[in-house]
Amino acid sequence: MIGRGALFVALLAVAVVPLAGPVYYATLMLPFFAYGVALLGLNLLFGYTGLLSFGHALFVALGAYTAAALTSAFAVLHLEVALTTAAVVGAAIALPTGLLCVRYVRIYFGVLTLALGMLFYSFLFKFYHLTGGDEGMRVLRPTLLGQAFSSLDKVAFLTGPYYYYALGLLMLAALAMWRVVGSPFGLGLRAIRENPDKAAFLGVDVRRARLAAFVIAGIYGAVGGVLLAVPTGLADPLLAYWTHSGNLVFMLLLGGFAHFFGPVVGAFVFIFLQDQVMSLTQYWRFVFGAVLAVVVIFFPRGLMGLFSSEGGFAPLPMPPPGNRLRGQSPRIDHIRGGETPPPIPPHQGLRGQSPRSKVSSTLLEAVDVRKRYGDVVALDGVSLALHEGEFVSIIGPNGAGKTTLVNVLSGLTPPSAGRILFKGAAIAGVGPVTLSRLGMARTFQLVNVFPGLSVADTLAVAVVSRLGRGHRVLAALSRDGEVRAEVEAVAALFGLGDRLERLARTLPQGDKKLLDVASAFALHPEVILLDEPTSGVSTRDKHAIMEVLVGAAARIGIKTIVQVEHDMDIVFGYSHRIVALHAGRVLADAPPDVIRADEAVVATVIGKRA
Amino acid sequence: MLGGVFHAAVLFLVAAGLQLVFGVQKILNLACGSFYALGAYFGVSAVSWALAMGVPAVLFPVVLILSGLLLAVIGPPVERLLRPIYDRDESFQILLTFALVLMFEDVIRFFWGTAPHQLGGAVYLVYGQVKVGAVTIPVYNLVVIAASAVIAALMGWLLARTRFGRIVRAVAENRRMAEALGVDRARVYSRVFTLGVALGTVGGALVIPATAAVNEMGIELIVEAFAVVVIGGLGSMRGAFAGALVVGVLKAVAIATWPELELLAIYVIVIGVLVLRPAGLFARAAA
Repeated sequence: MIGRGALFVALLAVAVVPLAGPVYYATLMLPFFAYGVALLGLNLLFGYTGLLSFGHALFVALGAYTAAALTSAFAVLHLEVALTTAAVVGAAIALPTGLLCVRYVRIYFGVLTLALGMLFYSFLFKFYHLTGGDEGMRVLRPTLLGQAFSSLDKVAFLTGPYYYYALGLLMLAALAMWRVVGSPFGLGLRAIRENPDKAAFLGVDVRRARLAAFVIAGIYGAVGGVLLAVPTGLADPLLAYWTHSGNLVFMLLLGGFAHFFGPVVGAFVFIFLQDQVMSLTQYWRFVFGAVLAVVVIFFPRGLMGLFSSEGGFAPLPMPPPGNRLRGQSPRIDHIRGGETPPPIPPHQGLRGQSPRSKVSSTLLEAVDVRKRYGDVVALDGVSLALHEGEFVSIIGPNGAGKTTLVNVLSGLTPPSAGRILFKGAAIAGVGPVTLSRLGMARTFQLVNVFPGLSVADTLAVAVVSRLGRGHRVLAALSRDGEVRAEVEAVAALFGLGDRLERLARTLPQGDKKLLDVASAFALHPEVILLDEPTSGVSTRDKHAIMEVLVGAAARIGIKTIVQVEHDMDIVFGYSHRIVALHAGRVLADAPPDVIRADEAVVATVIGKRA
Repeated sequence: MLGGVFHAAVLFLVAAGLQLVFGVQKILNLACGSFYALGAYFGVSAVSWALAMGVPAVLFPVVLILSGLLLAVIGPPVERLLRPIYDRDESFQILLTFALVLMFEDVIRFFWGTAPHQLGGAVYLVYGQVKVGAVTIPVYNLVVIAASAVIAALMGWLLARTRFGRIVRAVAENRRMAEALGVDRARVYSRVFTLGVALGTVGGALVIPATAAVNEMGIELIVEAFAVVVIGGLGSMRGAFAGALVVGVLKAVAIATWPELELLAIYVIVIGVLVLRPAGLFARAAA
């Protein structure tokens, strides 16, 4: 992070440029202010949400043309009106285009935004009776806060009152954006960037959050567009051209998308560098292309990345997780204490009492569920009821349909036939967000964390959505004592209390697994589905994890735990009931001692050992 | 209409290069338009030089294709530049190809300046014209359409029938697995990229008798090529073919009937396809 001191010095320097420096530099600062605003918005999309837009120039052009239309066609000269209108128009355009775009991620998002930008360009270019075609539209000199400053000539106006007006607006925009990224909403965006699937299972409405980010970015783009068009006095179609969008991304990368001030720094450096290089050679594009290539290849964190090795809050976007979580030897020493695993308490279960001793209500129920993938029948008529207070293990050989069953039970994959009832309501395919609100959570077989979020932030994602605060866009998360207290409480339950600020990707494998489970627990679900909670963890650590897990479930008030598990010691040590699957059917569904005595089950599912 | 097919034929070549590189290397190459532009300028120079050397005018399409193929020598070094970022996020890959776009723009300015370069109309019409119904079309257009169709068939044969094609498809399907089975990824990438460049440069070379080579042609074409691959489905050759036809013909029809809507119509189709069939008309499941 930039220190407050450095920020203050920078601001002071910028403020005295028109007074002390040559007029020429003051005029160069004007596009910097404009791009600074536009890029703050673009970075909310790219740096924070992980969506690369190649059509952001659309919004810049939109703002410029709004200013042009207002000043020259409608003779409205108040800059405040132009800015407000541009913001409204930007939002109004961003909403439908965003609805379309956020359905796609990665390359398709980039291509689609590029296409939309070009769509707008061709509209501006071809409908000349409306837009002036390739000549563009004039932007007349506006009044600032009602003042016309008619005694000043153009340059004096731009480097005087307008300079400070634009600077003030950039500061305001940065301040507002600072609030946005520090809010519960901003945290949700970062979670989406790191791992959208996980975010959804922690209750973040991924599409809605992406859409909101898109709209905010659109507003910032349009406001930046107004600021850009006033000094040049012109709105022309090239503002919407895709290479302009490309330059915007270039500036962002140059400054460093991983840092809050990266976009502002990038805009500054780009503009001054462009000015210098253009005065040296007419082939400035070549130089800039080379600079961009060097930045992309060697300094992907941009200029701000040079100052902080790990200080920025966003890590380098990497290919999706899944391929790089192997090979480490997981340890969770801080829980385990001694070298010998703790004794397995017989039938301790949730809160220790046996659920069968009292009448318990059914929480989750599968009725004759079938799931086929093409010709492969994964589930062939599974019926299952899960009651309050139960710890149920699903066992079976590889390919028996265990994970499919959990996926169907958790509403992730809709069944081909049959019904899933949660608290009496059908939930087949409702999606993870709804599910988390209803009171169900799950974890995955492979460790699933947000690599670039800290332990505290990871847990906060879940806590925020449990408290229904994910939509708060301007509230400061760091000052939310309630969220903080809950985060600390959950972290303590899982023995992660002393590493709250560690980034998830720097944790040892065992801790990642714990964090993964802890974040699901932080939702305070009634039912939790755990797909191999101890897979990839050494045998010695398995029992420790299970102890933590069962203890935490009791403290949090989780009513029912369902796990898929291969380790029979754990299955028999913790379960009230065991469901044995084989070839997509329920082979047995009974308490552990019954299962142990059932030779058919032992032979097909467990093997000879038991 | 046939003008549309002519445009589609050229568009197909560029889009096929884009698809090939994307399908195998998973890189969305913004610079494929630059190769097209480079091919066009180089083609103009090559034909002018050839005519001055006394090569009969009738042979100029051969000169163009040869010049396009010759230009593909820039493929391996450019691919070498992309190599450090294969394992990075797509965003960085796109940006690096954007850097290439900027650099190639000035490379063209450096060698050919900013003025349009054009072959004389005499060359364009050396094969004469034919009347189809009420319209007259230069025979050269038909030559290009035929050439493009032949190249499409060759590509299909190359990918489906040859040893090289099998390896390329294997790498496209599963990079790791192919490597584990002993495929030299670096070599495959280098060749595939060069082939992609060649498709772009030949496409650019073939178009210039009909139109002038201008500075903006690359960055303009890339947008259409994107439309083509989105309509057809990313990474699919058949998709590139169908998409190019759709875009080319649509553009011709729009220009003839309502010129304002030329580009708009294309994007409306793009967006329509994305909404209705997000993976494109000819998407393979994994594309």
